Amino acid sequence: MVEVTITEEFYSEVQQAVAEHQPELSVARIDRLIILEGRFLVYGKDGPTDTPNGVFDSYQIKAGVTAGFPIEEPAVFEEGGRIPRTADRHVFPKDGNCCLGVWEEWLLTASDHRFATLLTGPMHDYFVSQTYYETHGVWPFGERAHGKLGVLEAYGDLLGIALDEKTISEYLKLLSHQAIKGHALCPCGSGLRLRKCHGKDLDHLRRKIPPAIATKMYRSIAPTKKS
Amino acid sequence: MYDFSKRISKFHQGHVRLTNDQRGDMRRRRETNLERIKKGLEETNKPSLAETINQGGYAQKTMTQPPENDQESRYDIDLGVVFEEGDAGGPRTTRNWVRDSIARKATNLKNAPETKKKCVRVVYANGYQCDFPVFRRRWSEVGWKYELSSGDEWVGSDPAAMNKWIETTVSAKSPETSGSYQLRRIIRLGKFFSKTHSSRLNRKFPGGLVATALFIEAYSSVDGRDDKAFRETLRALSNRSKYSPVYANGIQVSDNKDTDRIGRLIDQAKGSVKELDTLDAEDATDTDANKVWKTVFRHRFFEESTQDAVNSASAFLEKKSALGAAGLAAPFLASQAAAALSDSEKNSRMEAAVSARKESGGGGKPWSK
Repeated sequence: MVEVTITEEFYSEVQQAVAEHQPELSVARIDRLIILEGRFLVYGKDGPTDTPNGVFDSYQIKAGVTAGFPIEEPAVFEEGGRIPRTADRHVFPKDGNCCLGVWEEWLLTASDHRFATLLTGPMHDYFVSQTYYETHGVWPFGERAHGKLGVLEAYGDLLGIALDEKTISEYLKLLSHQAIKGHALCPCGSGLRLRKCHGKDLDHLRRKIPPAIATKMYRSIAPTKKS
Repeated sequence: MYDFSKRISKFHQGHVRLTNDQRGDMRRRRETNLERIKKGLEETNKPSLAETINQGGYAQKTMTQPPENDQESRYDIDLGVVFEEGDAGGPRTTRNWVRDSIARKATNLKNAPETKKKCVRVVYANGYQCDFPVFRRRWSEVGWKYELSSGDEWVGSDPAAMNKWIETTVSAKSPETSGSYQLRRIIRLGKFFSKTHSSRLNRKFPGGLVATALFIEAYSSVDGRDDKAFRETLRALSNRSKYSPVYANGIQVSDNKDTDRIGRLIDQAKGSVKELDTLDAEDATDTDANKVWKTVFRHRFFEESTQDAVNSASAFLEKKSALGAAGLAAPFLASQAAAALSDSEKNSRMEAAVSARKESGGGGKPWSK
C-alpha cells in the first residue's frame, strides 16, 4: 500500500466539495484518511435546497477517503440500517460497504477526478438509485451484474466490444503495453494483423485508457496465479 | 506499550481460533471415523467400544487455523477409543483391531492405517491426520481406571487427565476477563505463531501438546490486554533454555527431538519481543503497531484496511464531539425537510431528479462483488 498522508490541498478540496454539495456531512482528517460522516442528501437539479427540485431524501453515512484518491476507491457505509446488506442491493455483504460501481469505469468516463465530481456523480447516483429502488423495485440507471460478470460488462462497454471474457482480456492485455505494434495480432480474434483489422479502434482506446489503468483492469479479470 | 488489544482480539477471533465451519468440519470427521471403527469392529466380529474420549487440541479447545502462508496445512484430530478390559485383547492385537476396522471402511486414505507404538494413525488423501490411541478400562474403587495400549504393554494412563489439567490451569491462571480465558487465547496465538514461522522457515517448530505446555509455562497475564500479555509471554519464553524439558500435568512431554524445535521458537520469540518493544515509544501510532504485529504473525490482517481505519477513526470522531467540539450547527437541515415530505411529494421530486440525470447522460450503475 502506498503510504502517503493527506495533503492540505486535497483536504481543502474535499472540505469545499462537501460544504457545497453535502452540507450535512462533517469532515475530519486523521493520518492518511479523510472521514465524512453525517446525513448524505439526495436531491434533484436544484441541489441541496428545499425546493420542488431539491432534497427529497437522505441517508446516514460514513465514508473514508484515502490519500490515494482517485486511484483508490473511497469506502462508503450506510449507517442507518436502511439498505439491506445484500449483494442485490449493491452492498458488499462481508464488509457492509456500498458498491458505487465498477471503479475503473468511473475513472475512465468521468470528465475529471475532482472529489466534487464523485460526490455529485456515482456517490449521489447510488443513493438516488437506492431510494428509487425502494419504491419501484428497479434501478433507474441500470445496474451491473454481480461479481466478475459486472466488471466484464463495464469493461466491454468501455471498450465498445461484446461481452466476451477472452476478447476483453486480449484487448486489455494489448492496451497495457507501452507501445502497440501494428503487426500484433488483432485482439478481436479474427487472426488478422492489427493494422488490417481493429487498429484504428485500438488507437482511439489508447487515448482513452492509459496503460497503467489497462494493466489494473487486466489484472482484475485475469485468472490469478496460485503462489 | 501501544494499546493494540482490540485489534489483537479481532485477529484472534477472525484468523486464529477455528471458525464455526471448521469446528463443524472437525466434528463431522470425528463422527465419520467413529462410525468406521464401530462398523468395522462389528463386521469383523470384534467387541464393541465402551466409550470414546476426545483428545488433543480439539478437546482442549486450543486448535488454530492454518497460517496465512500455508492454507493447505491441516489439523489433526486425536480420538481415544476405549474397550472394556474383559473385551480387549493384547495391547498390540487390540490396536490392530482398530487399524483393520478403519482400513475396511475407509476409501480415501493416502496409505493404509498404521499401527504406531501408542496409537493407530490414519492419513487421508487430503492431508488430514487422525490418531487413535487405544485404551482399556476397568471399574475400581476409585472409579474407572484406564490403561493405554503402548507397544506390547498396557500402561496406566488417564485419557482425560491432560484435558482436565489444561482446563483447570487455564481457568486458574487467567484473569477474570470478559467471558473467555486469556490463557487459552494466548495458547492459540502462541500455537499460531509457532505454525506460522515453521511454515515460513520450512523448519519444524514445537506443535501440539509441547507448544501448549510451553505457552502455559511462559504465560504472563495482563488483564484486558491480550497484546501485552502475548508480548510478555514471548519474553518469558525467550528467556528459557531450549534444554530444559517441558512438563504438562507433572509429566515430561518433550523429548530429544524437541530441543532444536524449542530452540527455534525461542529465537523467533526473541526477535518478535525486540520488535514489539518498539511499541513502547510514546509517539507510536496505529500504523506502527500494524507494521510490528505484521512481523509477528505474518498476516495480511495487519495491513490496515480502509474500512478498519474508518471505524477506528469514527471512534475518534465520537470522542471529539463528546468534548463539545462538534461542527457548526446548521441553521437549516434539508434532511429534516425531506423527511417531512409527503410520499407523493417525495416521489415527484425523485422522478424529476432521475429523469434530469438521465437526460444529462445517465447515472452510475451500482455493482457488487
